[in-house]
Amino acid sequence: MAKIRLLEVFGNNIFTRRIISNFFEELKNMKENTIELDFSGIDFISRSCADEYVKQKKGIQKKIVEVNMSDNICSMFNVVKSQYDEKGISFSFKVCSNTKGLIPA
Amino acid sequence: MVIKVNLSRGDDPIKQIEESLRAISKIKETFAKRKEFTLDFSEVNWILPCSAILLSSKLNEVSIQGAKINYIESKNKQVQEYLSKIGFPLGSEEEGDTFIPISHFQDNPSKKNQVEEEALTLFEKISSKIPPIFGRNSIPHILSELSDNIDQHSEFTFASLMAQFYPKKEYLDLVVLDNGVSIPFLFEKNNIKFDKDSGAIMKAVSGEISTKKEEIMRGFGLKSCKRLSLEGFKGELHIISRKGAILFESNKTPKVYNFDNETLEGTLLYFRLPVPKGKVPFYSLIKN
Repeated sequence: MAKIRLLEVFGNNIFTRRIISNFFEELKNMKENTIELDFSGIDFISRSCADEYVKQKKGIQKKIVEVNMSDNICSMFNVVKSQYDEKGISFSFKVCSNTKGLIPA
Repeated sequence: MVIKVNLSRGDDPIKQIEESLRAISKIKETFAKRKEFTLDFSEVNWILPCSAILLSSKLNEVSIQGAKINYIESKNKQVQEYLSKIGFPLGSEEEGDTFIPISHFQDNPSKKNQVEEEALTLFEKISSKIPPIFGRNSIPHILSELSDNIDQHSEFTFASLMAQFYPKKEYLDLVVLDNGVSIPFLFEKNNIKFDKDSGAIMKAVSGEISTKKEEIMRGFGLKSCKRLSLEGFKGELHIISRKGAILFESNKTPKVYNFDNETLEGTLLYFRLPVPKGKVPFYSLIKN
């Protein structure tokens, strides 16, 4: 399993869709089939980025495991989920371990 | 060749924005004929942040293209001081305690995440200057959504950012400008119908439309920024794109304009965010 600390990749804040899509392109090229993404130190992810993350994760043929998502990050994925629900689109979401927020499965 | 800039003083920002666009047209026409010209600001007694960034952006653009600009400062000391602080006319790297000067950047295809980096740099600079009551989500949200729009939609060649916090007046001004395809043009390209350019802007902030047809989860960015600024911060949002302009103010009917003769090549968004009295309900405002 590969482990990636997102703080080292992005810094504290993740702003644009492009940076997420570029990141997932790199994940696709990795040889490992299971990749752990450590969200420690990530203070903010934009709604657009969270949306892009959900889409990219759905499209990648690897197992992605998120750990250490803060309440703030979980809350943003929760916002994305509520917007998907409103549009009648289903994505599989798991519960964040530390809050009632959700993270993508 | 002298371009004399006249900017009205008054409560209606649209008049000054129109005058700025007129001055930009003159700069463009003049530069097409000659590389050196003088920009005369001597009679400018009042200048809005939107006007400053509009003019600075065009001056920066022509300067990079080889223009030699002689600048005559305003005789008005307050205007002089303000323009100097924000790095007018060509932008600046120097920061102050409460302001981040105008920062211009040019599209660089070899830089993979350029827009993200510029927006993050601005955010890092602002966050140290504003009181904690602004919260940790609202300002990055606005900057991230706007920079995402520039990155995804605008096909810009030049973009500009500016932020200024006024501690005595207790508000934060944020301005984002790009010279790419405008909102109305983008809608036309995607066969989205609208009545006048202001109508396109209104549709864009409604959140019901995205030009990325394959992505029905898009189109939330401007709407959420509008809700945050008006409902969360009780502030203002001005959007100018091509010939349309809408001035949104909290609890007031939006002022809608369509310029007859002037055009903005691109899109400008200006936020005035008063220091909130309490916690801004961020997630409920961006959700729907």
